[in-house]
Amino acid sequence: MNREKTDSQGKVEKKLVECADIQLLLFDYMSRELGEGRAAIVREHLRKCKACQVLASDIQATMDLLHTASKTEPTQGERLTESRRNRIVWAFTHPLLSWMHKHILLVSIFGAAILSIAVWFFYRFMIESRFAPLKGEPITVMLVDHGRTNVIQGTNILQNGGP
Amino acid sequence: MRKNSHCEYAEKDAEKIITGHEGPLLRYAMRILGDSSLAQNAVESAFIMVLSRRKRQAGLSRDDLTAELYRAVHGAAVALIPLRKRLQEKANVSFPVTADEGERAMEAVHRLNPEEQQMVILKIYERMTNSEISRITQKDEENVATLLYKSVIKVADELKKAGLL
Repeated sequence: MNREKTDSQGKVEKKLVECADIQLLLFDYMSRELGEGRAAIVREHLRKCKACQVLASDIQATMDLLHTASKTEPTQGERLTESRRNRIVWAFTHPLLSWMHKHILLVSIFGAAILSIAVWFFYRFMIESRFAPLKGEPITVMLVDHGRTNVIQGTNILQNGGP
Repeated sequence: MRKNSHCEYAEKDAEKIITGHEGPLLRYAMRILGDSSLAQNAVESAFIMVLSRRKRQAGLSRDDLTAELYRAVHGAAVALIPLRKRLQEKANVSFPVTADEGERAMEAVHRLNPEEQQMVILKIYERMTNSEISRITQKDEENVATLLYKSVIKVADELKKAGLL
């Protein structure tokens, strides 16, 4: 009795596994993507299994409906407009400019940063060259000591470290 | 001023690629977006993205180039889906009850996630084989077959709910 029960359970489980496996192949079978060997297995299973037959007819009906949709859809405008074509060709012939155009924000930030650095360097150079004493240039230093003024001329304070 | 020969050659090359692919790509984008102007935007940006990488594109076979273009169009179209939804809400467009079966079936496809939509559109509308889809989506054929089956079952459920099956 128990053995019979186990056998029938085993058959049900086998059928379930088989159905699940077959169902995964159903769509491929119906769109003729399966090889002859696997197609024959699916065909044989479909002949016997009611549940898989129902699923197959659902899939077929869905595919038919979707094919109907593809036929009723408008097919106008299957060409790009002339201006869009020109933009694509320009991007193809000028890849760098096209890249810059596409990443305009990044390019602007980078450009602004470069400009700021350039201006900073220029002003620093200008201020140093205009207002700072040049290295090695003789200068006049006036020292005030106890009310007397000594003038040391031609002293290079940078070289001598002061009087 | 006369353009130099290299530039002319590049232009002709680009024209040839555009002419050879624009029809199917526009159809594909149109099926994802359902709006011709947005479809044109998606295809334009896909062409620019793929063709501006000239060095990579030069070494590609025709099939690889086609696959890359489809991938780029899919990416661009998916990025435009929120905009399409906003436009539809703005225009207060909804699918009328009187819409024909085909339109309602298409609406069921639009309710799938982008990856599943891509599978169904390429397989059923563009009538591609699993290996062509696998090349475009960069998934192995087993994976493509499983995804296709699950997507079609989802569409079938939607159609049943809508009373079309």
